[in-house]
Amino acid sequence: MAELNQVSAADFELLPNDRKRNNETIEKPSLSFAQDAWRRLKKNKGAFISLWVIVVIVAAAFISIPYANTTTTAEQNVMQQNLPPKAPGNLPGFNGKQKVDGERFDAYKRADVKKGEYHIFGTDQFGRDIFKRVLYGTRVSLQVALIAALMDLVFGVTYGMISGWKGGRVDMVMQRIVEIISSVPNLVVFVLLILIMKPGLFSIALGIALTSWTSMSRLIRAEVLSLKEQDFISAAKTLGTSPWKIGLRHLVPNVSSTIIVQLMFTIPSAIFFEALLSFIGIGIPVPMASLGTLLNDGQTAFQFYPYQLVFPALILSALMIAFNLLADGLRDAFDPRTRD
Amino acid sequence: MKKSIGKPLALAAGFMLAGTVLAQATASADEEEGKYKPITWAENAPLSSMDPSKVTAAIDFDGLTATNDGLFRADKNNKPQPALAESYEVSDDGLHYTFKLRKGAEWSNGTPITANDFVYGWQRTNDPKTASQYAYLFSGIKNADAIQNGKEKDLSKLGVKAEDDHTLKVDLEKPLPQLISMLPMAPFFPQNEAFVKEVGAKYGTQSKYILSSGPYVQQDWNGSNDTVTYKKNEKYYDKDAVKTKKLTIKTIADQNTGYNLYKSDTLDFTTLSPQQVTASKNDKAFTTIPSATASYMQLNEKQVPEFKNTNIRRAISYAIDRKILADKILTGSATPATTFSATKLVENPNDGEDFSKSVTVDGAVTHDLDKAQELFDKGLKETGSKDLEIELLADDSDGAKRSAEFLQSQLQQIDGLKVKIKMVPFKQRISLSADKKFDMVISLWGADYADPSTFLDLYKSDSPFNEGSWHNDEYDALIDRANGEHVNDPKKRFADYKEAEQLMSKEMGVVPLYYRSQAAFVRPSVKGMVYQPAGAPYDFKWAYKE
Amino acid sequence: MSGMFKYILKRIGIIFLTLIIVISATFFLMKLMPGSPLANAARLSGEQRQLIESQYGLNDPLMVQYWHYLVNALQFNFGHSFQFQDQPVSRLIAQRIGPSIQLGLQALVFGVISGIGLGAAAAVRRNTKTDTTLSILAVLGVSIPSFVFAALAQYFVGLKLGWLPIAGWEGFKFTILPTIALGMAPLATAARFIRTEMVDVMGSDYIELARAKGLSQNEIVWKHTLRNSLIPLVTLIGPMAVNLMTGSVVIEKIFAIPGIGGQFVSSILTNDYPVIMGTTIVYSMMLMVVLLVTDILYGLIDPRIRLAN
Repeated sequence: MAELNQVSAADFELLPNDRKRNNETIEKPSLSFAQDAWRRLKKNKGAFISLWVIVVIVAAAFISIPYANTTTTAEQNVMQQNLPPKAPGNLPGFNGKQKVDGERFDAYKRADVKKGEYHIFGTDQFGRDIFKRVLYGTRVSLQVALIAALMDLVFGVTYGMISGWKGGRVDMVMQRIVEIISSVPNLVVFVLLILIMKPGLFSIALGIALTSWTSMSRLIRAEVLSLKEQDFISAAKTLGTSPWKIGLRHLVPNVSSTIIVQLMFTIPSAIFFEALLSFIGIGIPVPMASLGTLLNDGQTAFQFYPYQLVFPALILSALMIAFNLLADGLRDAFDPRTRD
Repeated sequence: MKKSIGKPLALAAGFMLAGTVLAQATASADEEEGKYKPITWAENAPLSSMDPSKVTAAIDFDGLTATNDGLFRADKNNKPQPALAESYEVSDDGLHYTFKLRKGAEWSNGTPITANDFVYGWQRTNDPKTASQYAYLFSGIKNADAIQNGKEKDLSKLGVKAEDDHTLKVDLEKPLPQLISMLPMAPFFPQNEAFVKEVGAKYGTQSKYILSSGPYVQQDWNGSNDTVTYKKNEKYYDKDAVKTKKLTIKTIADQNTGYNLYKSDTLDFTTLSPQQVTASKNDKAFTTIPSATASYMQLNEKQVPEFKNTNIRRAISYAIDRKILADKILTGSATPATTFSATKLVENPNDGEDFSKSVTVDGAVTHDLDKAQELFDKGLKETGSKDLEIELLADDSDGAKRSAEFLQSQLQQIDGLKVKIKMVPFKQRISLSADKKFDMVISLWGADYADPSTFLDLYKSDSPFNEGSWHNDEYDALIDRANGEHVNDPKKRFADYKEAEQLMSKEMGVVPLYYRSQAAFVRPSVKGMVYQPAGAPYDFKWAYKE
Repeated sequence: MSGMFKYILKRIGIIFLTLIIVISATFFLMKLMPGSPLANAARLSGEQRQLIESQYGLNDPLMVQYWHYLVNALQFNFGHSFQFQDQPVSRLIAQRIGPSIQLGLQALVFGVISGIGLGAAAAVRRNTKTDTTLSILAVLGVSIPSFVFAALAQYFVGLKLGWLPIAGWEGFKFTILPTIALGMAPLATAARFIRTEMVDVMGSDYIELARAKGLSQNEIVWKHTLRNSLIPLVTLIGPMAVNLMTGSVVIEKIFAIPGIGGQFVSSILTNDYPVIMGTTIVYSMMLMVVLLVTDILYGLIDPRIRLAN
């Protein structure tokens, strides 16, 4: 034990004042919820690519307004009808040749198309450029979906929050109403609505929203029901914060991930539903076009002019897959259980 | 001679004598069956009624024409030929017809067809309680209008009487030159009173609630199914002319499906969409079926005052390239129109030329954009307006949709004219036009019978079908003369109608668009089909498949 | 069980209420509609028109018409079709509902079973190429509209290859293509759902326990994971039924199937209001029955759910 006595004061080192804090510091940088979700989303390759696919398609659809709008897509040149795709260069499948009725020919030459004029997606039966039509149709489809999603958001979220927050009698009545609405098939609701309203972008979006808001409101209600019981809400209540403020300050941020994921599912299903309506003949009216009406027109001619179906189908499928994968990815990213 | 002989033989055991006869009959029938194959046809809508008084849809006319005969039946040249009538006489004033009926004709249940069946059928159609939508065809027969209006309650006052079982007398209020050409149509078919009364309200709603007087008997129709079969009617007086034993009509709503079914030999007939026509023009089966149907635009003078101006109406007409519309947009289902009256309607009594052709005014209904602009500017100046924005009403049928899109782009080539499209379901288009709630509408009119009056009478100023409210005293006078003073003189009457049609083309009372036809695949081995441009589109009586 | 009984009674009460609301809504919406029942209305004399209107009960005061319609509709009497004269709408629907139900059930069974298979396969091999491929396949199923898929299948499988009939309804062979075309949506839904659920379950404590106990991979997958993932799938049958109804409208038209879906479309296009109203009510009723049955089923198979509460 003798050695111990030999320890001198010089052997000790003075620790800095903030020793405690340093020790407690976690190595990872602190992240907000959104940043964390973003980080995890980036890890999900499928979802991340999907996000970019959506950004590109949406950007193309909306940036092209001056190029592909109601006026320019309606321009007809019937003498150049049903031209196959042709792009500069001599790419196979984009060389302007087609086979109709057993005979193969250069359709551009036959229709006296000026040299240097290309229709990379071909033309339709009215001689309208399909590339422009697809851009325009994508925009209309997206608009329908976005308007529907917006109505979903405003109405479904408010409804769900009120129902969940108030609870008791109010909740019961409101839930019965939701139950009644959701037990009517969406096509039926839609058909009844479209019969009395003038068919158009807004009425179709409204018809879609009328049936889809219920699932949004259900999800929000369930979230609010469980949030309501949590301490921070009780605290806010005890402090006398008004219900509106609690709703906006505390509830909305906490349900935002649910809202975003649900919207990501609403948008593609709205696009899809509009396409189906076009087939029945109650979709977007002419001379407007949507992906649905383009697909329907293409479908009737695909045996002879396959390109009229292929291009709108590709865009629609890309959008659908991208939205679905992104929605899945977002759901995982927002899910605290998958936090790593 | 093969399998089916089993049953008749079993029967023959009971009736030795009759047995041999029966066996022989089956033998020859069997041979025939080997010779002529069953035909499978497609229609795009389901059968809706088999009641001759309540018929409305084209497919109903087909079904009724397959199972019935009228006093007359249209032959393959669309000429009415005596059928249940053997002969007829007309009084000099054209007001009294006497029909001698064929003896020995029977209903499919074995009761004889008599003059009373016609009397009953016609009375039933005119009875306002039946609410027949084709009762108006009887207008001109004595008391028909009064009965339909409910002013005359006694049905027996209708101008049709059975003098005896085989003599039918028809009395008219005014001469009806089109009467004979209307007789092959379903509303003029006989109806068996005892049978109709027995089945009551169910009459014509299922195969078991109908009787046949014609070439086929119908089977398996339960009122809503999509496949209906027709078997040869062994009780039919002219059964030797009927070669097909079995005819199947299927409802195929989707044209792609029809095309695929035809290509796979499941169907012998399918109508073709314009795209399908483009790819099939060299096919042997490609057929264009004529129909006396015309499409035209009505310009509503009540709603758009500018349309009262002749120059503006003409400008609109000149802006339309009907050749492109017919060839490129409606490919195969249209020919460019130069008149309001449809083609294939009647012939010029002087030289046998088609009516629509012989009344065409050269250069009146044609495409000339410069002239259109010039007339339009002139018209606007006259009406004192700066520009014109109109809504084009069209129904959502494929043809109308295509036409509307095309017309919009054509008309907007005129500076100062803006066109919007309003698309509604078929029946809404009908009721909106009847209420005159439109600016401009694409209408389609099919001839009811082979006579110019079926078109030109529509646009008299007091006609309910003059939906554009175009008014021209001279036109009215010509129509009145054709129906009055000249009614019994075919040539003078024709001249009146010709003048009326030409007046209309020059004044552009309506804007003619195209004459409709139907592009289709008909299997080349199917022969003897008769297509009636007015009335039932398909008559299967003489059809057979080798 | 009395709790269950009470629950069912309550649900039937709600179904009844919903029906009344649907009937009322359709009735008043139709009253707002333009268009006459008759194609040739302008050709009718005033007398004829009046008689028709009284025949369809259009002359009574609105509330009387409404009351009659409500009482009749609740007894499945929807009046007479405008298009098919003298045909009661209930008969038109009854005669055509068989193929629709058969097709719907077949598509549901096909879609759910193959969806479960695909979903399970993807979950077991999760985060591998198989998983990605299967997931994309499943999404593809919902990313091509059924009318496009049906038209392509009809052309290639039916006409070009000649393997299956192109269209019609004359035996089981005729039902295969439409069943697949209609079943793609439930297939995709089921596959995605099962995959997510199974991945979830596989991470749970009791599966860890099973693994620790030394159960074979097969046993774990089939006995524990899949089974536990199947139960919540029942809740998806309701939404699937909705999609099947919508989808059948398209499929029936393309494959010329004599069902109510095709009839519904043509009634919309011909303004045949009584048929539209009747079909609407029948569709809603069918959906409500499906929802009720799945709820009861869910309560029966999942002991954690107490319906009575």
